[in-house]
Amino acid sequence: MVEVQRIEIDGNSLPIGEEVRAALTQAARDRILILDGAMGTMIQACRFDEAAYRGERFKDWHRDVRGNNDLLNLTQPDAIRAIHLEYFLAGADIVETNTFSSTDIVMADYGMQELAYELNCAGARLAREAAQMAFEADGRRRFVAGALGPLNKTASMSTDVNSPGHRAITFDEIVKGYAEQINGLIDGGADLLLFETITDTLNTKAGIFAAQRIFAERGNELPVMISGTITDLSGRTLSGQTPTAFWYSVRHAKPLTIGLNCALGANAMRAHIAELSDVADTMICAYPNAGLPNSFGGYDETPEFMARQLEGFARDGFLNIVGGCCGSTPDHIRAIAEVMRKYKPRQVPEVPAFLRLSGLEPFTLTRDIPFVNVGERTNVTGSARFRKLITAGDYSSALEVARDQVQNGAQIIDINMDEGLIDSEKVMVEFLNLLAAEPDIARVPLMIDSSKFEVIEAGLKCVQGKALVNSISMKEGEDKFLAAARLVRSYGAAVVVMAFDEQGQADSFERKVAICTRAYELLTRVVGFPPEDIVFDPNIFAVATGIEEHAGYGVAFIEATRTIRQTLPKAHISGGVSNLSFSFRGNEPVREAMHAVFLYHAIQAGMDMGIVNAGQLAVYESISPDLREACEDAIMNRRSDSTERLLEIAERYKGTAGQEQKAKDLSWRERPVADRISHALVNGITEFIEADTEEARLHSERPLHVIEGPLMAGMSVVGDLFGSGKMFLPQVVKSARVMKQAVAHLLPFMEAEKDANGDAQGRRSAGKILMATVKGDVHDIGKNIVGVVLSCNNYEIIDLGVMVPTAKILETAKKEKVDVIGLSGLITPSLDEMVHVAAEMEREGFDIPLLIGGATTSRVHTAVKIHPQYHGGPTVHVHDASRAVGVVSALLSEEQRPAYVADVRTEYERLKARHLEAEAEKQRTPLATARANRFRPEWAGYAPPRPTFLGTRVFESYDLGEIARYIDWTPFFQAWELKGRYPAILEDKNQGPAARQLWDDAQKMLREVLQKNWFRPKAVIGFWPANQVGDDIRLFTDDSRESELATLFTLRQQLSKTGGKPHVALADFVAPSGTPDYVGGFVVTAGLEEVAIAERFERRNDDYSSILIKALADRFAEAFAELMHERVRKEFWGYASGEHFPPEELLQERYQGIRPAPGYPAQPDHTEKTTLFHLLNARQRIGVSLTESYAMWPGSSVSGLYLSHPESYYFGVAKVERDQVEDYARRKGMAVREVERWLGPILNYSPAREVAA
Amino acid sequence: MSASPFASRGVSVPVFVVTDPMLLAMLSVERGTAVVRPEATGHQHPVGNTCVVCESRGNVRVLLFELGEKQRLGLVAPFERVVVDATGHDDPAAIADALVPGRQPALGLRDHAVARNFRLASHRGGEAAG
Repeated sequence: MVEVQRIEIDGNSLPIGEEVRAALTQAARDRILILDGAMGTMIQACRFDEAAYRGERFKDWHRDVRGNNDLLNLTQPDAIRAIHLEYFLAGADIVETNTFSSTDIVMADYGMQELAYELNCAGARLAREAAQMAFEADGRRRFVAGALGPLNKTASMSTDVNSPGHRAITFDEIVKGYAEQINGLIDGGADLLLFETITDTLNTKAGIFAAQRIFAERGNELPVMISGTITDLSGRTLSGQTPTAFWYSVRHAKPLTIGLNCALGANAMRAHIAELSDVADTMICAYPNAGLPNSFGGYDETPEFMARQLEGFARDGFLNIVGGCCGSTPDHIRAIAEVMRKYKPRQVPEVPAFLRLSGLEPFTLTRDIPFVNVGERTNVTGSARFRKLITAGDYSSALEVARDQVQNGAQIIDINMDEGLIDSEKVMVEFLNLLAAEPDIARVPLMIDSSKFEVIEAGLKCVQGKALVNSISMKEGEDKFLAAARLVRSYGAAVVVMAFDEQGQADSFERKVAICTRAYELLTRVVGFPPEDIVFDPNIFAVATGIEEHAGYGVAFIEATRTIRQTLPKAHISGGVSNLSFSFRGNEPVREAMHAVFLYHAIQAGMDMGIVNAGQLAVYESISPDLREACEDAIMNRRSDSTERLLEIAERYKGTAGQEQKAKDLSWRERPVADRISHALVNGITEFIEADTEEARLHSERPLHVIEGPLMAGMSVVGDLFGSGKMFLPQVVKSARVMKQAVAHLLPFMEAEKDANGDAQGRRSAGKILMATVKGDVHDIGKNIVGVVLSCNNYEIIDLGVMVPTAKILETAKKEKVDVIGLSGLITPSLDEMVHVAAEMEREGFDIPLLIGGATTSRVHTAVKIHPQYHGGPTVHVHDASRAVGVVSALLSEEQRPAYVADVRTEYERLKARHLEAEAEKQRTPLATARANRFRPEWAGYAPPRPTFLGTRVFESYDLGEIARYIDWTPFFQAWELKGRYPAILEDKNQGPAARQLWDDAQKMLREVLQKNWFRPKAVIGFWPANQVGDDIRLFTDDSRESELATLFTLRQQLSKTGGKPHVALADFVAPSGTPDYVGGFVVTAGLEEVAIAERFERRNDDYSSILIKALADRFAEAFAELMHERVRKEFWGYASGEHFPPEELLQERYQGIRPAPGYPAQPDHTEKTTLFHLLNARQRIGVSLTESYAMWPGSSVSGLYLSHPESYYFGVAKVERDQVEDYARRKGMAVREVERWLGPILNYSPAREVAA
Repeated sequence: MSASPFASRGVSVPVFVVTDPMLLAMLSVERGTAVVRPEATGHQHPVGNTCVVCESRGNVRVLLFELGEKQRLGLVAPFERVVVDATGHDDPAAIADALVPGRQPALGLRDHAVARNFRLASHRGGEAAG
């Protein structure tokens, strides 16, 4: 045992930063250095109680202090020193002081803010003493890292989501807090500083700022280690930065190490450490937690396991320093140190000196980027609109301006608030704070732009990323220039230097070069500014002003740029381009042309950044030659009369911007044929596809090569964009239309080739997929969409259509040797039909995958009911079209299939088990109890309205335009997998463009439908005297109510209910015998015409229009039902003749009465449609019939009952129990098993036949 | 879908905090439903204090954020509603509280993302959703 050493520390014995850095660097050259493990875990093991935490000194403290681990530096110093020593002796080269929370900011939680300095000083001293003891024990030098943890407040974000611009703490307060902590740590004898567990980069930037100031004051710069933390799947810090963006933000600290700690174990950290290892030109330090916690509050990773995982890091060359965080102990460190001996440390890479900035994401100005567009629209001096918004205080619209710029491709955005009428500093801060909460803006780096340095400085205190300052200059002399440059550097920003000195702004070539050269020397030699972080703005001035001295300004800038780029290595050139054309204000086409011409030459000379409106920039090549020449003459100062000539020509171009725009749109036609085909596919343009395909064919050896070459290449771009969420379903279906038409063009040539040399190979598809809507079901929009998406990905689709019997599916599958069968269905009885298909596949010995999709299908149903029936191949539920390709490609890939199938199996077994568990735990309400709690309107004194006629009435022709007014568009977008409500969906940030295009196409087709009367909607409605009998509704032939006509059976809710809510059945809304009540019924259809029209589109290889017309037909049927219901309320039943709602409010169902449909939640029994159809004689009257599964044919039809009671409402029966099913079967005169079959999805129990099976 | 983990999805997803096991079973098998379950880690932190591990297991906001991330990365099927399994949880009201914007402090950009993309739809025990 080593004896406790009390050491004296005074100013003379404090570590010298330079010496520490040299010693650590030397040691790290040969081996991976070891950092200690967790302090908290060790303290927890000591099991100190409140009294132990308080010690003698704080025994009367007014608050509980248990948990304030840093306080133990004062109250339990021996324990803390012993822990440090244990780590040193286990092999640690460096231990961290027990000062994680020792700022006045965090200590305020315990009311101990006054103790901050003392805690740090004592903490450093204890570690120092332990280091001395370890040295005396084994003669090895040890180091003490002063630990600076995160704060409980954050400078870069609001803690209130309702007030995103608010900040609980300022940069300056954090500087003060960390400064006190750093002073304590240094005075206690820390060798270096370690900012760790960083969750907010701006907080740490304030810490770095404090450290640098103290280092400068003391003339002793300690090495700094910086360690962030990433705690979730996003791979971002809590303040939202990627690891690289985080590194760029703190790189100005010139840290000894950058790295990560804490988080959820080594495995979760690996990818992020690898990323840092690639980009950081300094040492890497990693110290993860000992894995995930187990249920006992401990950690899962044993010393050996953790060492093995970190060994992987070392083997791959990621590590210079390694240790452990939460959960790790001296045993972990010993095991890690042991393993690390075998490995060489990471070689610190040479990283090219590029300008590297960051927002939430990094930006590097590499040589591949010829020119950086800095967005100028958020500059009050450059944009009148932005100025108006800012002066009016409309920040949310101002943020939209910023968002637009980023969306339009600005790589950096310029923020300038220099407006005389506002408090620029305050507005800059407020705007930047709000902007920080907008991740799609904050992802890019910012240019903090002001002519006042106070405003710049205030702005720099708000940004966590590495910003670019615009600008500083020598206007007020060298001293002010140097001071500003040093501050910019301390805030970690890059800088734009304007060519401006004590004599004024540089206008000649010579002055521009001279001033920039002088500034460069001062910045790089005196301040130590990295040259790649310097951007010169040599001043762009207006030309063609009519003043002779101005004529050479363009040339002066361009030539100065060329010289500066050659003589001042790594520095960049920027400028505000719009100044150039100042004299042509109001003539945008000419201004755009001048800017384009100027940039064309300036970029060639080396200008690599500029403040421009990227959306308003002409393409140099597309400027008409006479205008271009005139601009060139003026900018390059080539003729003495260039200004006059430009003025003259400018008149002719006024207001032609629109035309130029249009001409630009067709520029893709100039590109090579393969590019054109790809463009046409991505943008869904059919206009030129036949000509382009023909051209490609003429250049190809065989027609097949056109498919396998440019067409498949284009479709794979489409596939990637769709897969990554950059394209949406309607756009993909349009791409498929282009593809189909191209292939159709090639087919005759391929046939001819086959005839000519019999052996030509056909197109190789990725796999053959049979798709069918099962027997009894007629819905196929979803199935068709899946088919299109799969065929886009080179799968061959055999589509058997709708209402396909099992035998036909299996026969075709065998004959065509298909690789996958996909089943689709919309109505609930189809679920059973799918189970049947699966069982038949099993019986016939199939072994290919079976895919299940459609609106009523679900993962759970597939897992519980279908999957167990078919053992030959996997059965997989496909949630939507976007998932289909992934599933099919996994299933057809030799490598992926086994693992994928195993995953699906495990998942489905788990779902099944959970389902069974849930079954067992279900609470059941007996039918009698439910009935006793039925819905009881007050019938006494209520006179139900009598319809204006009894019996049925048919509507055979109806104005389509009138029906169209009632269309609810939200489900239309849902059919295309665009999720959201209409009309908001049109403005949706991501789906908006796709939704708007779809909307335009739908409106175009709707106009055609209306003009050509494509649909023949028909309806039949009827009313009958009715009374409630138990849970059912009895109908009578006439008002005498003597002769029964039919019975409508209804189901009652059996869920457990609270709060006095009734167990309702539809019958409850109809008056009992004694009160004369009535019930209506209806069937409406959009007609059979859609089928023929859709087929016509399909024959023309236009699936897009085919799906569109079907989706529209569905909407017409629904709209027609809505319209008829309104007329029923107002005219035919007439109980709401005064009702007046515009159609959009009808959709919100505010009216009196309901129109529930069999097969839907209020009456889930599809077989009830038989009675309704019979009553209305719907097949004879309007040609709508029922399939064997009770689907309506034609598919675009709607049916239901009309109930008038003012308190009636839509509800869901949800699950029913066995007692009700038996009772219901008895009432209906059906076999229990038959009822169970039709109610399968809503049974709250396992029917006997399944239990037996 | 979006490139950034923090971006607004445009449509906010309703979140049901459910304490009734039967309702949970019913809701969780519905199409387009994702289920999350806050769990305690067993770490004994002082009140109001927590660690990254506890957060990742027990903080409903972190669970929702991670769920969003999983969907973005294609690890889970798209969902239109989320059910928080609060059966047997000590303090279901606290879970609901965490989802009321502004009631508990946001500690990271992800909390802002959760506030944008999820909304507390209901917090109840015995009442059915239909």
